[in-house]
Amino acid sequence: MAVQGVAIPERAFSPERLSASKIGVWLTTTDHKRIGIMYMLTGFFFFLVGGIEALLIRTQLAVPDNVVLSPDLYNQMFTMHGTTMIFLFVMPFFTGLGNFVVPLMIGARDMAFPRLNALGYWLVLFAGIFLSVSFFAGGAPNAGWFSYAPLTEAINCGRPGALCSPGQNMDFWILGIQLLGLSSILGSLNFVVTILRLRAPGMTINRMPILAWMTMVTSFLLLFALPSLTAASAILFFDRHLGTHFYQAAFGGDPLLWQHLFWSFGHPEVYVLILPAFGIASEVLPVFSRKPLFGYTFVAWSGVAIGFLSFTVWAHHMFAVGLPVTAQSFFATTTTLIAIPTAVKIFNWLGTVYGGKLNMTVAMYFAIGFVAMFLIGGLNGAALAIVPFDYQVTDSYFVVSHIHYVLFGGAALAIFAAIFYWFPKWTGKLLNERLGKIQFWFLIVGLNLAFFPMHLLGLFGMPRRIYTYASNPAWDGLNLLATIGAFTIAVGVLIFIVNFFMSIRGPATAGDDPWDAFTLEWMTTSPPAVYNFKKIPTVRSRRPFYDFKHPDNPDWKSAHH
Amino acid sequence: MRIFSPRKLSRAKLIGWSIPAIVVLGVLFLAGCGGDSSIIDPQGPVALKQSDLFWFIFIVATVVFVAVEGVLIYSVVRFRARPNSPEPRQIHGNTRLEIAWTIVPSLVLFLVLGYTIYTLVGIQEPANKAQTFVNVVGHQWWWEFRYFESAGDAQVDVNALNGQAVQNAPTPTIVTADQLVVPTGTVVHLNLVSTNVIHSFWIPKLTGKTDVVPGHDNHMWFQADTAGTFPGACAEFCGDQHAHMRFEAQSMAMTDYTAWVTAQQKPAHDPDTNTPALTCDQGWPGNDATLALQGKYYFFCKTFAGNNACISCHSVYGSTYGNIKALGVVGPNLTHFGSRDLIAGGVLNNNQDDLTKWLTDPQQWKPGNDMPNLGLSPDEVQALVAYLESLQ
Amino acid sequence: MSAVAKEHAEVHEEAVSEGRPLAWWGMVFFIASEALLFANLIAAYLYLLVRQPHWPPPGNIPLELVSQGNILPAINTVILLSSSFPMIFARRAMNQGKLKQVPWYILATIVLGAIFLMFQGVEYGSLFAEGNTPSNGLVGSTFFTLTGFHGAHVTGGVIFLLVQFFKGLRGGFTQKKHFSLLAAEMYWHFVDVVWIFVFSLVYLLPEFLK
Ligand code: HEA
Ligand code: HEA
Ligand code: CUA
Ligand SMILES: [Cu+2]
Repeated sequence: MAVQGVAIPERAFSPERLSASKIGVWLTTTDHKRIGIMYMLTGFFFFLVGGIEALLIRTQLAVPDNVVLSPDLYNQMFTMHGTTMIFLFVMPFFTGLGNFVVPLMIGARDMAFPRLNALGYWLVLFAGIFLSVSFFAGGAPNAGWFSYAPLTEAINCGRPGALCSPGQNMDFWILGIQLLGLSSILGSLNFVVTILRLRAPGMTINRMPILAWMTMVTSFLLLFALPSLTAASAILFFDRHLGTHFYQAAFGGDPLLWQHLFWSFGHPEVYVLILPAFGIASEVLPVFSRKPLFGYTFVAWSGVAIGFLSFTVWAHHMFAVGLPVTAQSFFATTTTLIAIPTAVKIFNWLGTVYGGKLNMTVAMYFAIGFVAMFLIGGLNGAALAIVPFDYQVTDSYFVVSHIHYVLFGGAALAIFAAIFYWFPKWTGKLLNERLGKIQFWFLIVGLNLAFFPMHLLGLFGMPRRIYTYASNPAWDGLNLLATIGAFTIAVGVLIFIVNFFMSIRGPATAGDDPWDAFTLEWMTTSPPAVYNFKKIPTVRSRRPFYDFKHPDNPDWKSAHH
Repeated sequence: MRIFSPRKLSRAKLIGWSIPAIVVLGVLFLAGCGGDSSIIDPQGPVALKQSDLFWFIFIVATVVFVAVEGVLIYSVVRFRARPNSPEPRQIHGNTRLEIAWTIVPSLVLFLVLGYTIYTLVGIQEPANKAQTFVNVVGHQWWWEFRYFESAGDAQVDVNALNGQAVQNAPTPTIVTADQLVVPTGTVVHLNLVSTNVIHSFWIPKLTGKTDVVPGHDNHMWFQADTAGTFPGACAEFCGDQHAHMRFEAQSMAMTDYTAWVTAQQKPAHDPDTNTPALTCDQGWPGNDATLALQGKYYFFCKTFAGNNACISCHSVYGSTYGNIKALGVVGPNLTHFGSRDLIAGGVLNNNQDDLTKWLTDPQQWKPGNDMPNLGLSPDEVQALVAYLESLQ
Repeated sequence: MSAVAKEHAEVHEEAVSEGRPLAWWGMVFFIASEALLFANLIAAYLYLLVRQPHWPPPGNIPLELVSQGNILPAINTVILLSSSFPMIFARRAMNQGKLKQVPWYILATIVLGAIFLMFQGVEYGSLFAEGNTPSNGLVGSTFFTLTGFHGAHVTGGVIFLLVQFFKGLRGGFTQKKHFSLLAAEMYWHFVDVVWIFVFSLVYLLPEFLK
């Protein structure tokens, strides 16, 4: 659309011609909106990939002594499931959402570095394909998503002639992760500069939508946390191929060095996976409650607090490794502290819906579902911070339950809220609300069926990452239930896919502002033109579009910020 | 007097009652059907303190859960837009509320933290002195248990296992696998050793985990207060057969334990007592020999890929065939194999049928484990089963 | 690119005419992230070091210290640090409009950087000859990783500077538009500063652990 009216030279192949063709526009684009959409589609595609991996896992575990997957294939499956869901689904999706929405929200015409932005996307796509084809190229990574050394080392593993990790499985992981890390660094500095430098006149930091805040905090987390992963996996690569001994106890190295480095990335990373979700909830809940966000300042700054604290808690993943008691107490304390700003957020969302006029759209369903389900995961996390109790449940299904309540009940539900909320802006079309509600209930029922029993499985002593188990009256039924839950989720996801294709073919009836929303992205057309806004609006409060629609009673008259 | 009157049950009361109800139901449910490795059915002081913490946080979390979900559901029901509902007031926040809901959860959380650290420090060291000293060695994928008389001996053994030059390394009084036997009511001290990858030692009903990390002298203690058999497992992902790195902890009264120790310290039972002069060179002892003796012959003499098949990996203390001894250390020590419940990290049970399955093709039952398929004939398997089960 | 996109790009620059250019900020955050990469590698080194009762650990071929006559690294340090000055001169020349001088200052930095790399190569060669390789225990592991990572960054910096050199020769800079030169300078200073840390920790710290 951008190229209409541009004369195309009559050569057989030329860059101009390519970028004018239907696919070419996408291949060559540097428009943040197109890049955003590509990120999100790629992310969703990998959600399906990771989901199919999850279904295979659950099929294998449905009944005792099952033989659907071989041990090694099972190990590849959960490693790639975790890696895919985290690095190829949630992260790219949030990057895509931020790409599309944040510049619009803050009244910018594009990201600060459009070409870097495109590079970041293509790196993700390439790394995703690279990681996934490893299944067919000699074996996918198989040491778990946090790849503990020395299981990942190419050294003699205690027995004559047996290497801990022969084969290329781990090399795929290391190289794939390096590429994804590079992409995220580029993406993050782009966000930071965009948000700090390209805001519309009057859009002070303190008036930015919370999603922009959270994207900024997330970007800082990535900028400062990813180097740990890069360093850790680089020296793992050296250990494997250049003969260094960083993680090899027999030569004075230390396997725990890997854990410290990995988790000093890994814990900030889990907040990377949830802060944008907090941002989404903070956009969606107010609009459908017909009220401003309750306690904006507290919601914003608690996000910053979480960001800072997230660098201080990493060893709560290592309570059982034998750290000194003082260290364990320290990390228990910081982990407890981090629950406080999270609580503040939850209470402010309650404050937002309370006393509102709730318009129960599908986006609102998902936003509320997010709060309800994330709460379970959060409380579960608070339990994990109780060190002596953690000794019992670490590396058990209790942790698997925690992961999925925060990541599926948290991040994934928020992502569906975001899809239903912003789909009209991306396409000019509305998703079907009826199908959306059916999908919602399938997901909620399915996720609780799948993941609640895992709490109990953990309490009943089932370790995680086991490819099979002998029949045990306390485990069998719960495992079957979890499998049924997983397939229930799958039905919900299929309904969404149907909805998506139906709606994308349907008429563009959404209009520019279907939700009577508050923020700048709704002030422009759906989908927005390449340059976003005809004229960059001037902002006087946190709800500029609300002010525009309510000139009699704008926020900047009633509230001081 | 009627205690319970449904008519008088107001909404607030309903919520007020629902919390203890959930808790009570939860307790009954969880404690009732937790199975043989439930952490909330503790059988020793360490596990007990850990499960106490669970109940504590369970109650706290339930209260928070009911309160937050309550407000959420109430809001969705009460404030759902209706055709005539007015525009809500545009409230931007309330600083007092913010302060309140920052401070209140902080207080609760610090209470939890205090209890956490109190327990954490409390379970570091046992109240009584340890009486049993076992070095736990994590192999891929089975557990070896080496018993010692004293903490000092055990530590020297740890150093030796870690490859340090050690003088006068003490011999363990007992070496066993897949089965940790301890006396009830006394403190057991464990040193955790691995020279391959990280494992994690866990007996849910007796104690939480401690990781077994190469290069780290980790140790732990526990105590079993009741006699019984408690499943244990490796909890840190350690490769293909992480699922089959299970074991059993058996606790028994002191008298039984002493008897067990005496039995385990005896040399292996030998089907060969009448004909001590047999050697491998003489070949198969013949159909007249007992099945167990035939098995012993295969165990010591059968070759596989140029090596004596069984003894290059397994030990049978105190037994010889001719002048050949069984001192292999790759696989589990089999001196008293017949007295154990499990085979190969719990992948099978120790009975004739399962052992037959195992010897016929170990790779079928535990793909990737170190024991190759030796291509034994059914007769050979039968004889070996008879021999191994005789090692009581 | 299309006409609309061009127009949009212009508007884009307009929006941030005041203050530092966007690319400057981008560079700052990129360098911050790179700095943390080195911080992590250094942390790994120190972590392994403090776990050892003795450093160098028994059985490792020790690194010859500066005080034991190994002065090449010290010379190299002087060379690398002084290479930052021509870059500063290059920027000054640029600001004063002496565009002709700029590439030659850059070249001076490039030459110093190349000498640094060459000496590092010489040092590696003699270490390899005495059997001190990356698999020489923790000493070899950490030494080659830290200096190697740094060396790779110097190499990257030299290539970056070479591009600027040729750009300068072609007259690719104007007094107003020369951000890539500034970026190269920032990057070069960064690489220098990192070396101070690497040198102090790898060569000087063991002096105190003898
Ligand atoms: C989106 C990702 C996400 C999020 C947001 C969190 C949030 C939290 N996590 Fe979680 N965590 C993971 C993802 C996440 N986690 C993953 C992926 C792993 C496993 C990695 C692996 O091993 O594979 C993990 C593992 C993990 C462990 C290690 C477990 C183990 O391996 O033994 C611990 C231990 O402390 C922990 C704690 C916490 C805590 C305290 C929070 C807190 O932030 C939660 C705070 C929120 C609340 C507490 C709820 C709201 C609060 C109130 C309403 C106030 C009142 C509450 C009380 C009084 C209790 N997490
Ligand atoms: C965002 C993160 C995320 C998400 C969304 C999920 C989603 C799911 N996860 Fe997973 N999970 C992790 C992150 C995540 N997980 C991590 C980090 C681990 C740890 C890994 C490790 O130990 O290393 C883990 C581990 C893990 C385990 C433990 C494995 C083990 O320890 O042995 C299990 C077991 O049940 C599981 C199950 C599931 C299920 C059933 C879902 C479901 O919610 C999935 C739902 C999705 C679908 C069902 C897809 C639907 C697709 C279709 C219907 C197909 C349509 C196809 C076409 C149109 C072509 N996950
Ligand atoms: Cu050993 Cu898992
Ligand atoms: Cu964490």
